[in-house]
Amino acid sequence: MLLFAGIIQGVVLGVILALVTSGMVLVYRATGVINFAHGSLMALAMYAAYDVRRYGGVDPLLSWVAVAPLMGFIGWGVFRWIVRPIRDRHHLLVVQALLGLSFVIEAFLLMRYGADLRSVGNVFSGRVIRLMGVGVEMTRAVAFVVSLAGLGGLGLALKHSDWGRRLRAIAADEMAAELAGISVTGVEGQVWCVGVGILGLVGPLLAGVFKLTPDMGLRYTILALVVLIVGGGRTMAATVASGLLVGLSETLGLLYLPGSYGGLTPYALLAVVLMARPAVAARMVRQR
Amino acid sequence: MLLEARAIDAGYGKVPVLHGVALGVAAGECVAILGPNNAGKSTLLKVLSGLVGVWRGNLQFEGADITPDGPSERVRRGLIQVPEGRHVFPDLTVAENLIVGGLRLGSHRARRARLERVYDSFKPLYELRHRPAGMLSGGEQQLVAIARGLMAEPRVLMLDEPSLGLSPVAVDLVFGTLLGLKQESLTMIVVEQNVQFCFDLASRGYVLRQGRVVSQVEAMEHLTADALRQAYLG
Repeated sequence: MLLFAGIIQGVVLGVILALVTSGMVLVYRATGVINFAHGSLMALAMYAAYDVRRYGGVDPLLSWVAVAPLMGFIGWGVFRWIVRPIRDRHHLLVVQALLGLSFVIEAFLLMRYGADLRSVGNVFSGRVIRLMGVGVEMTRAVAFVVSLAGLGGLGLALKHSDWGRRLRAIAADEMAAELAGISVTGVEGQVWCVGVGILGLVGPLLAGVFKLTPDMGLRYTILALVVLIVGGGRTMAATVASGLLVGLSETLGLLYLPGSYGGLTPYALLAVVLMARPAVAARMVRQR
Repeated sequence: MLLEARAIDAGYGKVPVLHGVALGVAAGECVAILGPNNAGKSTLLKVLSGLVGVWRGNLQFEGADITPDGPSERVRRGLIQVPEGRHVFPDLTVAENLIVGGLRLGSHRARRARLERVYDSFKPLYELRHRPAGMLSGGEQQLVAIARGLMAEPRVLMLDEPSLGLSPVAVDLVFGTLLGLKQESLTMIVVEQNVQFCFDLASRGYVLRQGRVVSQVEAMEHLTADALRQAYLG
């Protein structure tokens, strides 16, 4: 029974992780850049929900209406003003700039909100729902459903919309895409907008699930990076599978391993994948 | 002239490739660009399609100055290049490759109508439409690349080495396809190493050497073996 509960919790966490990572995957596929500020931008979205709640009195279940467009704009801006000017230079420069941005965000959050743990309640706070007999926090269940819908929507858009076709075309061959009349930098900007905007969609919900601290960003960046690498960063389906794997390994690790060793299982998983399939990671670095 | 290049200087970074190149293409004709390797033939096509910027000189298309336009604007005007080495989108199916080529046709209906017409003239592609383009043979991929270009309803179609790396059978297939397009009086510019191919397809030609137009061939059928050898070997 404990195992079954662990699996349910792991699946819920895994799907949420998969949606968070999907933004990173889109950005990586379209522009070849790994967004090392992804987790910090998510922290920003979560704190934005905190402010909207505190000053506007708006429930996090609704505040995504404002936070998602804000994050989308920030994502577009990061591409336009940070990534695009320097990406043709040494490839570590973009990594440094994005890591730098993540520390700037962290410092900003620390200055504005202090180091205290915070949480953002919503109408479902404190309520628990039974999923196949296992108690799951209601907020978490909502985030799970939203993530499932988000992943499904993204998958459909990638496969069947013109936007998805443009994205897949520039991911496959930039020059040929350009010769087919696609404005490559235009699509890249849109993808950053969507990839980071997703954080504005789930961030406010997750602010009711995870405790907010200013330094949480890097942890989520690394967790998303683990999901990205384990999944190979190519398709939505692989990202979902990899999110599930990471979510399950963390939940079950916390259940069965002594002390806090369980929190290390996602990283152990990454190490195993890198040792078993080093070619995958090497290909990801070499691409572009 | 439908498309005209005037005194073009262009190159990569700081390395000059083209020097004062002038060229004109009238509606409905097929023009070949000849010359030895590294003469700047591919660069010239990339200048026309906007992949390579112009340093000096200007480009006129249907009476408008298109010199400052990027590739996507030129595609919107109907100036379409089929790149060297095919460059199909390998993970996309054949049908998706063609749809991407037709994105400039705004409405879905116009696109579907165009797709049907293209399938009519490229029957083998219809059979292969659900296959990822990366799985096809070289000749089939070249057909996909040409068909993708046609999906945009080109006013001028520019082909860079369409027979490069293909088997003799595939070369014949591609050649037949292009001949068909010529008979529909599609305006074309062809860069091609295969001399016979150019000979039978183009009505006029420009000979490039070291980035300059060294001679013009007014009627390909009058091109003598000597003149041809001179064009390629100098």
